[in-house]
Amino acid sequence: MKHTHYRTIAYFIVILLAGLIPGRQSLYAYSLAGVKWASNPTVLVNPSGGPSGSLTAFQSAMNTWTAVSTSYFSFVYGGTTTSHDYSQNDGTNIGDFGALSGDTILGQTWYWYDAGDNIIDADIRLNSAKSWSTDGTPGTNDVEIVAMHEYGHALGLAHSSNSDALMYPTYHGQDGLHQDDIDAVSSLYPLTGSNILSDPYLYAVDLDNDTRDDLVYIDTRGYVYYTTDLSTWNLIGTNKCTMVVSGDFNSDNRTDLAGLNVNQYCVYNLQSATGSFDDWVKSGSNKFSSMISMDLDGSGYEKDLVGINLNQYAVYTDNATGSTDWTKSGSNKFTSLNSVDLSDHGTKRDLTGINLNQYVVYTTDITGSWTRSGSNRFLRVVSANLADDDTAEESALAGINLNRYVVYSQDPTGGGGWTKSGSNKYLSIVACDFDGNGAKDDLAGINLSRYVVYSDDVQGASTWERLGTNSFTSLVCGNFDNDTRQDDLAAVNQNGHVLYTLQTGDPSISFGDWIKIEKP
Amino acid sequence: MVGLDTQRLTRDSDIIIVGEVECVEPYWSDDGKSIYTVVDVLVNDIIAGTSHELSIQVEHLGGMVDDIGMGVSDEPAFREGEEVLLFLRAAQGKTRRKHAPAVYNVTGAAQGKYTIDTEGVAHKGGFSVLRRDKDIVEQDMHIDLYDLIEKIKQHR
Repeated sequence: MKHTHYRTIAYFIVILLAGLIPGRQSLYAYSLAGVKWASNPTVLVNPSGGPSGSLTAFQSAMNTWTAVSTSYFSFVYGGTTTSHDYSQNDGTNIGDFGALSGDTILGQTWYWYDAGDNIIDADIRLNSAKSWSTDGTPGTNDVEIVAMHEYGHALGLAHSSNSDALMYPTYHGQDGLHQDDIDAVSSLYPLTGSNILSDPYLYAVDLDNDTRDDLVYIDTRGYVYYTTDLSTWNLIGTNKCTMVVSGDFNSDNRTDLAGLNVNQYCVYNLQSATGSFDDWVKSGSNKFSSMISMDLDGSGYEKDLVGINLNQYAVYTDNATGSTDWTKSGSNKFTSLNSVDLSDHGTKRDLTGINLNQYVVYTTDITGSWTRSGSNRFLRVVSANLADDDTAEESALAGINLNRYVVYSQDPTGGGGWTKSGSNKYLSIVACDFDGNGAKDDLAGINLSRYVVYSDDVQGASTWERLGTNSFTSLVCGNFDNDTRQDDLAAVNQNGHVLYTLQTGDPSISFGDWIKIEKP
Repeated sequence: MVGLDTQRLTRDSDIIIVGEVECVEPYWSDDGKSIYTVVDVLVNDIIAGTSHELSIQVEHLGGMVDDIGMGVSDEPAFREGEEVLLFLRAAQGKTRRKHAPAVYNVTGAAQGKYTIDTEGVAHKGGFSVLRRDKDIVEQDMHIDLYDLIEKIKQHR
């Protein structure tokens, strides 16, 4: 209800100005819907039902918004889809042609948002009952321009009262963005300084080999910092990155870092003998949308990298610091990948991922084929030790399904029967070891209200406990105080600060207050 | 969407009222896939059509329930205390509320809703229309409430 108020009030103010001073075009301006994306959305396109060239037109419409130089917002084109699941809160953002209720509607945008006013799903649809073209055929509607208008709604814009703006309610010959539209998206997603991330990125790893986990933090400008004392941040190099992973890439028993730089190239940074990091080094000429590190061959060193390239294929290398020939794995396309231990229950890791149809697939041989696990569809999946077999090591999977419930499978290779855990809805989850038994058999997550919740009984009563009333954007677990209770939690709040909470209970699981670490 | 002028809005509506928004209440659809909002509007004047109710219910797509919200472009939005003139059509479905009177939808989505400011001017907006409809729609975008009511009565 609060959001209805925001939108109505914003619109009302604009209209009031227009009504009081008619003809003063300079006072007519954009209006915001009161919601925005916390991270750049990946958008799929189903061009079926449209005229020739529709796919390119949809892509051009997205690219026009992405190209606004004063805004950090980007639509990430995720490929084509055969889905027509318009309007569903399924975490998949699609653009398609299809039926819309009522013959008066040309295009429509349907979006979902959480309690923090963050958009979590947005679909646009052009009415298949109308005439469309991509070449300006008289009597038809232009796919690119109408899609561009709808994508403006999808990124959080309401209508503008400036009659020259693309977001003006009437299509009357606009052929692209007007300065008013540029001001609108720049207001909502301002490129202040040089922001490249919507929210900071957080990663937990033991960098100094003291068996206590440390934190790596990427600020919204892309600068990478680490702390080994939960207090002081140290800048790593001068390059900007969007994500990092860890591994021992030169087999010297020190933890190194790899990541993606602002241009989507893989970069790595080897830790020196004195524990310091120099600048980042580019690895090969491939571009990636995401990356994980893992031990593919069971050598005991987590030195291999697997990424999703811009064609959405999984590619891998065992030589991140060399000439870096990346090899494609199978013919599936992916939105995310995870490391899991499905085969030898030892050092060698296997892979699981979510393909473009949102099914979980896995492979125990990265040079071979991938197999689907069950018929559930997912937004996220993580590996965990949820099996009843005590010797199993992270051979089970837990995920967030399309209804945003947590579900888990103790035997993903055996048919993939998935069971729901509790009735909360989630934005993200991580697998943790809260009870110190050496197995990541517990889960923590950020629910739709952006509270951190956790469960040490995922397969049992499936009760989830809330940790305070802070709101967070990302969450990691790690043993930050090196005690026998194992994993603690760290998270980034909506002001970009890192907070951590340590376990206090023994033997029961409980956590202390959140402790803030000042931003770098 | 196709622009609807005052004549068409009048012709396509079962009832046209002036009123005040009393209550805005979102709810999940029975299939759990959509959020709708029921708006209680206290009827101050009936411009066209018939109703014996002091308060009528208007339903539209979108709203927020608990921790999740849904928005649809071109759908109207209401705030409590707002003065409105509404072009309304009887809804096909039934309301979720017990003992509720008839439920209406706004004719032409957001086009059928005018917000009345403190100067007595009625403002229409919040929707997308085609180029060819620009002139007819914009004729009455911002109009004195009395003039708008007179136009409606002429077309009825």
